[in-house]
Amino acid sequence: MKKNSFYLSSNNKLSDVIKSDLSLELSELHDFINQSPLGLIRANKWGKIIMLNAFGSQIITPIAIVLKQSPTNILDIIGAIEPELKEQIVTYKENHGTICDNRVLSVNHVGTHTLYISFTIKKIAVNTFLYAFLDYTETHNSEQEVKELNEQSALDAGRLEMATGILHDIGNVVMAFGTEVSKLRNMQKWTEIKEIQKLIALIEAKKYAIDSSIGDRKAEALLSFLSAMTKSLEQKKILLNTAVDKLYNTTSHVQEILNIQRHYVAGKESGKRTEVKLENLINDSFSIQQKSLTKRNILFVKDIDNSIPTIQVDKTKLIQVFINLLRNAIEAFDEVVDDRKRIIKVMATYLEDDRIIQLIFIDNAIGFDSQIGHVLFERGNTSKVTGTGFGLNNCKEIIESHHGSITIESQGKQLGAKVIILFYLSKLKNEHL
Amino acid sequence: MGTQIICFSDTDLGSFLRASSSEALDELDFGVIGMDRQGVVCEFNRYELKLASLKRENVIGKNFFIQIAPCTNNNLIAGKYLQSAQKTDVILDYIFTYRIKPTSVRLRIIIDLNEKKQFLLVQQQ
Repeated sequence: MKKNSFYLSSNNKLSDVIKSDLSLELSELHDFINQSPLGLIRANKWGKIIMLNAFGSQIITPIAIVLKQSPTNILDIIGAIEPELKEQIVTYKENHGTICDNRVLSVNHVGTHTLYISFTIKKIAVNTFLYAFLDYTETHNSEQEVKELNEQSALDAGRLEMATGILHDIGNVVMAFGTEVSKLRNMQKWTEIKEIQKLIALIEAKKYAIDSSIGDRKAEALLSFLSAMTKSLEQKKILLNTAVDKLYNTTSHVQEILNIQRHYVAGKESGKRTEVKLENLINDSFSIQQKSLTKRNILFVKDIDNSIPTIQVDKTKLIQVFINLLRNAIEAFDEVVDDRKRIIKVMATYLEDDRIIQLIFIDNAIGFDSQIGHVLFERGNTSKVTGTGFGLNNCKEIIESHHGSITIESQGKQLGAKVIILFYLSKLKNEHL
Repeated sequence: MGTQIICFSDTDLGSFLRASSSEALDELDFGVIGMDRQGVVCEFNRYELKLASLKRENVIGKNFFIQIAPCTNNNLIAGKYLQSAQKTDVILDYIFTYRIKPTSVRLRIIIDLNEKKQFLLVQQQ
């Protein structure tokens, strides 16, 4: 049969052709609605489902079964999820109109997870309602993740702002303190000693005159007294100068640390990727930990390959990792009781063929059981007596956010530890490569 | 088969169905869909063709859950069928959407991992 043709053969009646075409169109329409990627239900005012497409059944039938409701009555199903919406539908007075538009209902799917279904419900005739719906769970969960990330970012920004404020306040106090220490240092002329020495010279020159006027050997006694006073003052001078120098150096170091920290939090840079030289970050980490290294008599050795290219990183985050790793290595010496030579070595090499930067922190401190290396990065796990187990976990998260990897190993107790960080430059945005 | 009457809820129906020809399956008064483990149709008996207003040549070789009955493409039916890791013979009530008319059906999923052909049976309620 030739469809839609104006000329019909004598055997075909016009009505048969129209009937056939309508039947085909109806079949296509059914398929079109049935395969639509949106749940569609046509129901009467009591909720009885008159029409239902495939996607609709795919979503609504399991929900009805879980909620122990009839899968052929949409009002019962909605009533079991949100009774207010059922009431809204039942009491809707108009003959036509939208009852709700993209209203998200949550269904606790027994034994698995919560489903979020977005419903649009319209009254399309006196006794006819159209329900259009789709599974909104994935979108809802993505939106939740974005919301949580935004909240976390806001929290980080708040912390950063607070940290900046604290650093600023501490900086001001330390600056004032440093000024006083500098003044004190400049005051250490000890002119009194020079004056006494002049007096000693004078007494020596007038020794006989003094003896004859105030008594025999009195000048000698006076000289002895003044020499003892000079010696005492000289000792005090050395002690005080040493103390003031130490105070001055410590204040300078605190100021240096504050300057580094200010640099890292300046402009709320956390999260921002900037081009940095890894060596600079390592130097800054060392400066911050320098006092602790000196206090524990630990030799810090650095071996950085000059060919390492600059990389795009979040330097605020990355320095946290380096400081943390250095601190761990330093504190690992607290449990060492023998008199071994204490060394922390940081090595960085560039594996050019694979475009990988390999960074190794190695120490000869207490180490740990060789079996537990892989679990130390899990939140809450630590090998330290006073550790919380959050530091290494944070390090791992930060390194992985830079598409890198981090591993820690030890040959066993007393045998030191080695942390290996790999940065894959092919995965890091790097304009110089 | 002689005069043997086969019912939807008969025990050990899987063995019978696997041993039956397409013509024999056409004689049954419930729907029989034979598929591989991925849901690709190899049998679709006359009862189910009629119920779904489909032609055999339009269903053989197609994925049942995606191309023929997307209303079953959820954890309850497709999930149960595709993720079954053991011999399964389960009956459950469901709503099919033949020609967008909600139709209450009883489904029976018969899976034997040692066999190539698995079955989904349909009985109109």
